[in-house]
Amino acid sequence: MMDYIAIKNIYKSYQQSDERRVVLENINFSIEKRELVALLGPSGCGKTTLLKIIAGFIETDTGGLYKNGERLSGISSNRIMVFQEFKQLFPWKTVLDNVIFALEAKNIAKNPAEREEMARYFLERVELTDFFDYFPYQLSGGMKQRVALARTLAADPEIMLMDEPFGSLDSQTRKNLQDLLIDIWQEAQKTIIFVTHDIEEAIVLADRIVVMDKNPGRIKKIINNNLERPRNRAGIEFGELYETITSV
Amino acid sequence: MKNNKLLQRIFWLIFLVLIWQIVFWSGRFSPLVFPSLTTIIKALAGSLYNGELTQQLLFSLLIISQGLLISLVLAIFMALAAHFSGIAASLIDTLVALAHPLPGIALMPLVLIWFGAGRQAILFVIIHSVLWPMVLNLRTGFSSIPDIYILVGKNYGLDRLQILIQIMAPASLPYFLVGLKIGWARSWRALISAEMLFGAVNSIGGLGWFIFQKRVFFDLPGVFAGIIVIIIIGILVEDLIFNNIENRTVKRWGMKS
Ligand SMILES: Nc1ncnc2c1ncn2[C@@H]1O[C@H](COP(=O)(O)OP(=O)(O)OP(=O)(O)O)[C@@H](O)[C@H]1O
Ligand SMILES: [Mg+2]
Repeated sequence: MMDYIAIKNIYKSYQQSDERRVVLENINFSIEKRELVALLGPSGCGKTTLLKIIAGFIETDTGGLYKNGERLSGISSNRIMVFQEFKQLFPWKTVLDNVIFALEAKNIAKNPAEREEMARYFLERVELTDFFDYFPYQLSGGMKQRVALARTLAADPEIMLMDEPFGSLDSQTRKNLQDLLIDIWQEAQKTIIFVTHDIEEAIVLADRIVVMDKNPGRIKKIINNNLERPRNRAGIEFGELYETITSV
Repeated sequence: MKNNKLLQRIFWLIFLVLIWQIVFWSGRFSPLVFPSLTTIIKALAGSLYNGELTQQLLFSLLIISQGLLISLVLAIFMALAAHFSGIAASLIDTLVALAHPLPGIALMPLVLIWFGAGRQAILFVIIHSVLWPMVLNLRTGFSSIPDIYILVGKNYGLDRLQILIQIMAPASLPYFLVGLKIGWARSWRALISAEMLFGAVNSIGGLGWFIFQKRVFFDLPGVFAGIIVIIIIGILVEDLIFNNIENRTVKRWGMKS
């Protein structure tokens, strides 16, 4: 059987001062349709680099990305990235217009009125009902990430690539957004690759956890996470899985 | 707050005008070199009424708009070329480095020889004074656009032209406006001096020419009338046009600190 997404033999190195540094070494794993996979690893292990390779923003030295056996190359609006940076929203557009941007870019909906209605729907989905006419600078970090999530959902990509989108938020906001993401993921039936360096976040979200290590960035282990949803952070099995991951 | 500022402005204006009038009343200076407020206002109203000043003003505004427009188009092309091509960048940066510090006035003798006196010469000086600061600011504007905006644009499937119009243009607008403001201020000065130097074709030579002529006939109230119009246009453009554009765009978007 062919994998939905296969990542095969990826190597990536960067020239740093006068030496070539291997940032990703022999990365191999596959992703099933509608799966939520977490890439978990310490800072500098190449998570962002790998995600950008999957998004098509940067090229590999060798190896690549395959969908149903076919090589994927270049940037595509079928694989949309949600960045860690809050400034990924366009400051000159209101919250609503930032989401409408995605619909226009992908030519979704027939007319402006319909697009606006859809944008409102996605913003309601991420619980941002009262802020349609705000500009990004008037929002908190958590609210900005919600808008980014709504914008991505509006573009209806097959795969969502999320690079520590909740990384700089306080723990309460973070938990809320994790729960929200799971709801949305189950409803919208998306495939999600979620980068994090937080073990708890990986366990709460992912079906499968790709544990990485650094120098050079490589995969240490891939762990299936069969905990029942909704996941109880205080549960015994949760703690056991946490232990398993730390001891990898 | 804003109202308060306006009130203060008006208060000081009245204060200055009063001082002027007191100096006049003191009789220390001959009314010929230090005219009273009433004669100045009469001269202003008179030359506006008979169309003399209005005509010169229109001439000046027309030529400066033309100069600004041409410079704007040229600057956008040059900054874009420099942004996308290394060779163009080094050429354009060299041109800017050479031409930007050169005051328009310094070019006037040369312009006189090349273009003769007249409209073209004035236009040339205006373009020279707007183009370079405009290119400089647009270059900074383009290179300060965060990569992430462009990446997002590409990710959502925008093509090059769409990225240019939908992302690069608004993202660099704060710098564009700074360039435009500097360009306006410089070209307004350049215009007046060029008009004085180059004189008139068929007696229409702009505000600068108007003032120059009044001086020749020792009509000091007329000179002041011209100066007042120049000040008023300056304030209108800065406070009304530029502030308005900023309030509706970069300030509203939180892109200007
Ligand atoms: N453009 C680049 N040029 C040179 N080196 C780079 C470049 N981008 C990343 N690197 C290097 O690659 C390594 C991995 O970087 P990457 O950003 O992928 O790590 P990360 O796992 O996302 O870390 P973090 O959790 O801190 O975001 C780092 O050592 C970094 O210095
Ligand atoms: Mg990273």
